[in-house]
Amino acid sequence: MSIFNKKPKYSIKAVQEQDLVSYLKSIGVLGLINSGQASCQFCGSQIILDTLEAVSPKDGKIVFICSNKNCINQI
Amino acid sequence: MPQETTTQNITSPIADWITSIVVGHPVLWFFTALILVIFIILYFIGQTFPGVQIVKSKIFIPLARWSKHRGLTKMAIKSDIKGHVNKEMKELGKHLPSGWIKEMDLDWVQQEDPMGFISDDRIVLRIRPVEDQNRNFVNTTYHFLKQVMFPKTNNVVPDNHLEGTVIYLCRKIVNRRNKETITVFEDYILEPAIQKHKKLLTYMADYETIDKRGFFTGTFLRELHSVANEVRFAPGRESVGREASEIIKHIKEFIAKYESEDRVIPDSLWIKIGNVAKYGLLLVAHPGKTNFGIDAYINRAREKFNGGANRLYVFGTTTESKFFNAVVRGIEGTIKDTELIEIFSTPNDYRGDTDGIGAVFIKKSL
Repeated sequence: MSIFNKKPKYSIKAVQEQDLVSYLKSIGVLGLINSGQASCQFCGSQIILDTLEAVSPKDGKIVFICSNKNCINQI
Repeated sequence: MPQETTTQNITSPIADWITSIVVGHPVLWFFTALILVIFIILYFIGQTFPGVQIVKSKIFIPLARWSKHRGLTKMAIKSDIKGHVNKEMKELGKHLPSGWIKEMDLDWVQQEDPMGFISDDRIVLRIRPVEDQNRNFVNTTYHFLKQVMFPKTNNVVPDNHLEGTVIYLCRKIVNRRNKETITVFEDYILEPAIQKHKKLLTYMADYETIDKRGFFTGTFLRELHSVANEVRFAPGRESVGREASEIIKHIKEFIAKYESEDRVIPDSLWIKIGNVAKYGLLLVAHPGKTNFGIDAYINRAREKFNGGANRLYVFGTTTESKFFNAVVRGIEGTIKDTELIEIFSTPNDYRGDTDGIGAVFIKKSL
């Protein structure tokens, strides 16, 4: 928050396309995606790098959301 | 003191070198310092005024497209999304209950340890290249609204109304951008939501009807939030969906009577006493149309509270804001055991003209 701005902020965490692989590696899920073991939390389809839209923590685990329009809508 | 001597030996040549350069090129260093100060000032202004972020994005997006430079691309994407979203949120914040709208920031992540990611408990969105900025904008706006709407009651408000209000407001924001953004919004957000919630289009049509007279943000969202808050830890928690439908039904009937030829609204429609939603409505007219000044309004406000209302929504027009304020101050100073909790703006007034004004009073016992 800047000294001129006292409004509370809400930060959205975002990963840029070019940082995606290294970010997924850092949270320990790149292997899962590359080996085809990652699936979308909502539709169950297999996640590959091209179809990954978001990663989310849920009940102590890391879940994936794919770029299917019906799944983005449920984030 | 051998340690001090060593430090002096290392720092002295560096300090001497810097001093010699500064002294040797005073003009160069003056302008460098000036640019640095201007940059810092612009940075703080940019953080405060979304318009500056938009201007920044207009400069950096073409540069990022051309150079493909990672840092520049991140800066351009962030400025564009932050600038546009916060500009719209600033406007929306005037209409929504105080404290709902926060300033949005985009927090770029590059590396994170798995435990840190889990304990942070926040989703990480993938942001596409700058060429796909419409999709980035739509996704971020939608996600942001979903996080900030109905704070603390978002688990109590039924999904279809939560989704409906988010999508309705998101569409209002997107409609002000460009055709491409509207198409992306319709394809990625609206269409899947309609397929998921069959009543969504009906809800959105209802929201629009009541929004045209200022009651969507003015009464519906506020009352729904209050109702959800009241039953959050009570047996009536499951009834919020029914209460929401009844609030909409009541406001639509109220508007229909207001729009009728004789404009006579029966006494029963000025107050709504449901199982949880208990509120009254008061429309402040032109001072010339009332013979009794503010007293008539104070009496009507008192009647609503005596009739069982827990909340009173007072609406006026910006052209008659002085008279509206006099009525609000009159109620505040006269009716015991009530409290003015908020004065807000509405996108339209109850007559259907752009920009309205409203106020909410509550019973102090609540």
